Amino acid sequence: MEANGLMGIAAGIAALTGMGAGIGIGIATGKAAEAVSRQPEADGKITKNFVLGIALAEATAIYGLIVAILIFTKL
Amino acid sequence: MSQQATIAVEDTAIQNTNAEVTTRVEVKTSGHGIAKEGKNAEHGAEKESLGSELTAKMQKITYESIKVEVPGFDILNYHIKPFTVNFNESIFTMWVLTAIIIIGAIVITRKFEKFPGKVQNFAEMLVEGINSLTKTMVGHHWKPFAPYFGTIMIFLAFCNTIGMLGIPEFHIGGFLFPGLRPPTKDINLPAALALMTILLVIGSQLKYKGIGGTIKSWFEPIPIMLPFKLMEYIIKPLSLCLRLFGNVFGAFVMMELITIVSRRLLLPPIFSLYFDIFDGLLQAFIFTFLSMLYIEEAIE
Repeated sequence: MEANGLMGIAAGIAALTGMGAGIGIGIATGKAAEAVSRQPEADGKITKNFVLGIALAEATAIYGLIVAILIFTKL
Repeated sequence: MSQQATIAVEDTAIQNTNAEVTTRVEVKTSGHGIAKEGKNAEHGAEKESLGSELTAKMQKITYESIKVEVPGFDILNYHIKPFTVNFNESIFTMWVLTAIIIIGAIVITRKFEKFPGKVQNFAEMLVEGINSLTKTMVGHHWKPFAPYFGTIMIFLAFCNTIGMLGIPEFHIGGFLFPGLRPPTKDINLPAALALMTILLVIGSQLKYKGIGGTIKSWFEPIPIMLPFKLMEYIIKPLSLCLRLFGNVFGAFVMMELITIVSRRLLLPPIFSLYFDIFDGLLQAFIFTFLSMLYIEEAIE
């Protein structure tokens, strides 16, 4: 039982990677909104870079999720 | 891994994988059951059953998605008798989707006219969109790459969003067919796609830069970059694969949990809008987009 509890805590710690991704995506969104309001005609390019940026930032959260699930299911 | 392989060799029934999974999950959860039996009488059985159901379901899903299938072992599972092929769920779904896409493409492009109707307009818009996206991303040599990107984008868009239909397992003539769930939640499909992309990157680099140019590009801008440039050939497909797999798998697990917790009331369709449709299409786009970026980096 103790091992199970520790595993739960470990999975929770692994899922903390979501924090970094959240901060990163927040900053990226804010900057994108700023850029669009400053230069509305460059909307397409900004969106493209923005999507790429959040995809890369989101990857860390996904790795955390995978590790958490792997720990939780003892695989 | 080895245990799974031996069992897979022994079994011949069509659903041997499913049977194996359930027995394994039972073995795993039985430990919990014995340990908690005393407490079960005191606390309500309701909460406990929900919790164990969640755990068992998640273990089953994870086990199905993470297991890596070695082709050498798998060939032993394939029997040539009609339809005793050991269908993997993701293989079956992929076949269905491939058939739908091929038939759809043939039907749509069969009768093209000078003045396009609605369907033809849509098809032209799709092809032109993919072409122009490839042109802006890849640059001069966009032409040979556009069909590849169009194919994987459409295929992934279908793969990632098929889960929203929620088609369960069904029997036809005594054969058990698996339900349609996103095949990209099986790690083998994203891994294969990522391998295809990195092979295309290496191949196009060799073709457009030549061997000398490729080796020279490893030492730019400074020679100390060499180990990092070589490492990129492994990291790029790894991150492509894990990003696609993790997103789809995470969305799938979330949808299963929501379905269980909400007792199939009201919530699943609302969350499905985000997890299945939005996330699935976004990931299909991002996979293609990053592949284009890598190729542009390699050949320009």
